[in-house]
Amino acid sequence: MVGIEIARQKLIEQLADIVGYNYVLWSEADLLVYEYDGSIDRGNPVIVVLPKTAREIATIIKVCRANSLPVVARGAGTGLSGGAIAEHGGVVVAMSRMTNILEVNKTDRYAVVQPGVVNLDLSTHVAPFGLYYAPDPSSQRACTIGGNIAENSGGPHCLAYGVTTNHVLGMEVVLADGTITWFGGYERDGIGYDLRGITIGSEGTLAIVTKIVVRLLRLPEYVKTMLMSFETVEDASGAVTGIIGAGMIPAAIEMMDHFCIKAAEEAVGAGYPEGAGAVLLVELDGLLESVEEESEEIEAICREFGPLEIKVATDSNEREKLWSGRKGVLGALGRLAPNYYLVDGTIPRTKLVDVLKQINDLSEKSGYPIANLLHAGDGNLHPSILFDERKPGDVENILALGAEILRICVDAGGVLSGEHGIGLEKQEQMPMMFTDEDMAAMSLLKIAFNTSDLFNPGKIFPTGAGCGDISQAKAIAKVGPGAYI
Amino acid sequence: MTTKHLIDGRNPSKGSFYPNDVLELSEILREHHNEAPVMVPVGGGTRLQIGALMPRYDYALDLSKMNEIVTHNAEDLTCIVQPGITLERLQNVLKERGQFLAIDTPLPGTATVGGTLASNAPGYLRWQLAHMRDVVIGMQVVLPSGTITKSGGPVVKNVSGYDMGRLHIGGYGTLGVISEVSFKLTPLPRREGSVVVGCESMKEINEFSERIYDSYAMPLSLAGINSSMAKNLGVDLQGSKYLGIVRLGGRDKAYDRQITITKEIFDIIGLSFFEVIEGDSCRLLWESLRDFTGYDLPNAVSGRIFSTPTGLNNLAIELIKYFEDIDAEVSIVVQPGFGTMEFHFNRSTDLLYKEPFGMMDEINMIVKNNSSNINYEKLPSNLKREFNMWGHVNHGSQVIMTSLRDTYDPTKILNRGRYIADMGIS
Repeated sequence: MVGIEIARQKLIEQLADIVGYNYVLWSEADLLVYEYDGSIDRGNPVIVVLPKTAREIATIIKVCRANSLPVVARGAGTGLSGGAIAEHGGVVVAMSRMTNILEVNKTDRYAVVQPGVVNLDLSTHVAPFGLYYAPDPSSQRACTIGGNIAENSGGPHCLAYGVTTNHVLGMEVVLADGTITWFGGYERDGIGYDLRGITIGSEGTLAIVTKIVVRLLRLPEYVKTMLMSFETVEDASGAVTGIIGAGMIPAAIEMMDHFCIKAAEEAVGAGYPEGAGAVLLVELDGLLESVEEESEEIEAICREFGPLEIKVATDSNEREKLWSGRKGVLGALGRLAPNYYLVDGTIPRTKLVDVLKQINDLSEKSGYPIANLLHAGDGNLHPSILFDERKPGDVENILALGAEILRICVDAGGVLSGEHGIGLEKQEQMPMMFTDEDMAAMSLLKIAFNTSDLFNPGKIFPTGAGCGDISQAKAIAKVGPGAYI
Repeated sequence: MTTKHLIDGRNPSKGSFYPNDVLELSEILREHHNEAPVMVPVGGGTRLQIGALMPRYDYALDLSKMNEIVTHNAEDLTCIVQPGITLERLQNVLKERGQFLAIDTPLPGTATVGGTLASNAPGYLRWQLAHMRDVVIGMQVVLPSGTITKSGGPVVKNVSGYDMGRLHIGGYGTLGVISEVSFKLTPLPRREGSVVVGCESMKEINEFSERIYDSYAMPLSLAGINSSMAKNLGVDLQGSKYLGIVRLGGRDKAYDRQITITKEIFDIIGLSFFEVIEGDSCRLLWESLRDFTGYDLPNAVSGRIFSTPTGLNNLAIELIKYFEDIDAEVSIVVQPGFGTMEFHFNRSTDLLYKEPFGMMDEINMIVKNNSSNINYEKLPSNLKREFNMWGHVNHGSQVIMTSLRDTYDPTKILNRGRYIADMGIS
């Protein structure tokens, strides 16, 4: 033990030489803050370091490599799959001092930012230029651009505008040997393998991103937000399929079922109708004429499914009010149950009715209410299983239920994650979707990037035999007392 | 032996394979893996001229028999296709359901989906719809070892595992052979047409483009061409030196509004003529522009420049001045909003490469001084021996690209020596 402590002290000295003592954390109380993210998992880093520059990160990486210590980059820690958890201990590199917007180019419509910049802060910063940054995860008030890159984050408006990878032109990265280089740049196209694209969504396992060039979009001329309520989830799902099938891709189509409606109404009073089985929040943006023409057509499609009510926001205040229910719904679920387990999967949009019915059947069979919140336009489901962790057996049961929901998604032609990533949460479910050969081909990337599992080890790939029982036992073992799910 | 597989004047020395399905493709690669031949995946053969000289060329892997639409889920705006299907056949099927794939590669009657993706073929639908990698949502690939792998899937939003397909788009078939692709599709605009404006200089093209970019119009494409390119296309310049062409689409009122916006911009700048074309004349103009891939002559040179929108503005002006100064007839097309430029010329070999003042050296210097990059897509074979066709990537990226190549294809079976990843680390 004395030897370990001496080694740790030496490491602290080495890291303090790089960033200064104030920016190296090692006390138990300090480390506690960094042992979790928004998921169920926990992991204790040996040390947390808060660098200011890419050069400092490069030196930190060299020190960690020399000491055979893993490096885990961390943004705001809002991730929902355990991506920022120091599963194997090691050093957490927190980006909370790299928060500058370095450049905004209005003419070429890009911004250069550091990884710790909060997503919404970027859009707020560039709004005076008539611009915005399109990916808008629900956690956008807290989550960082660096974290968004690790998870290839989406958000309600990615239906029309795409996810993070569609909005990043280039990145400065630090490689596993400490080299600082660029993947991509300021151009929209280029030469060679798309190293930028393969790094985005790699959950911090291939490189550490230290600077990002993001595309900015022009704020639309006109925005129209509509709320349609339906008697059943099936009717609302039918309307979604009808809208997409008619060749329209609104900026967003969000769906909430009766659990979500109830919770959101109680929490924020967004004006959602009582008694509705589901509501659709549809937003269109663009040219005034285009929005008006499409909204008329969408309204006509929705009328075919017998809506209880169609409400159109007439100004920005009403629009904000309609969105407040959607944005506040996850927090509001706490009114219905002490805990919830948010599942993330994507299915072909045409399978919405069938899959939601199967999830409802699972809910009835298991006795656990499942609140359904969907980015319905792109088939991204967020069934939220309501439970009480204090009840013996509840945690085990809801984890098993979550895995069953993912199985339904995959069987319907869908995937394990639409926007939260695999991380620790779903690594044991990867064999549902991928063969051993698929995963071996993916893991070769780590060899090509020469990471030797230096960066964020223990993520994405299954650790055991891919057996469901193993994964659940592992997940349950991680759920500490009072863990919030 | 077909001439379709001809690369730099050579046919494959040992023959060509025509796999019928992914299993056959896998078996061919597996069987030949140990002997480490040089194999070249071939789609329609429209872009085989690109790349450095290979040391050997043993087999062509012709994927033209793998040409089926596996599924087209029209209600979901997705499809899965085999790599050998031509773009034209696929677009015709999608059109029947009011949809299209937002890729408009040259020579779509011959060019295949697999070849288009692997070679990152250019196109004019990138103003709004960005890069072709943005419409690929899943991919099946056969590795050089013969192993069949997949990533992604037929859903439009997915972060399950590494997005391996990214590496194969623009990877020139050096890390594996694309054997199936999932796409997300785009609804066809209800109405479509183009505005053609006459400009006196590249500066006017730039201003026109910048103002369109800054307006609420949402063009599908915007291109500027010079008189030499107009001559190739048989387009009347009506006394102007350059043409700006904007492709607009949408529902009726939205389309009309965009025409109005474009006319207002035309009036503000005071350009020389304004014409709206629709129907066949519009379609034919964009098709002829798309399908012009350079001169079919022994000393023909074609280059593609990558820059930022404003970077390209300066660069294009400088390059045009240089071409005028040396009295070279060069056909040029710029996509100012996207930051790319293509140029085509045909000159004698002596003029092309004469250290240190050769024409291509000068071009490369202008490109470099404008912080941009260049890739030569067409170059006489004798020049390929001494000239880097691939432009510049930074050292760190080159190290990773070389390592990717060494990891996935250690014996360099696929396209040995052709791609930038095989150019060595400087």
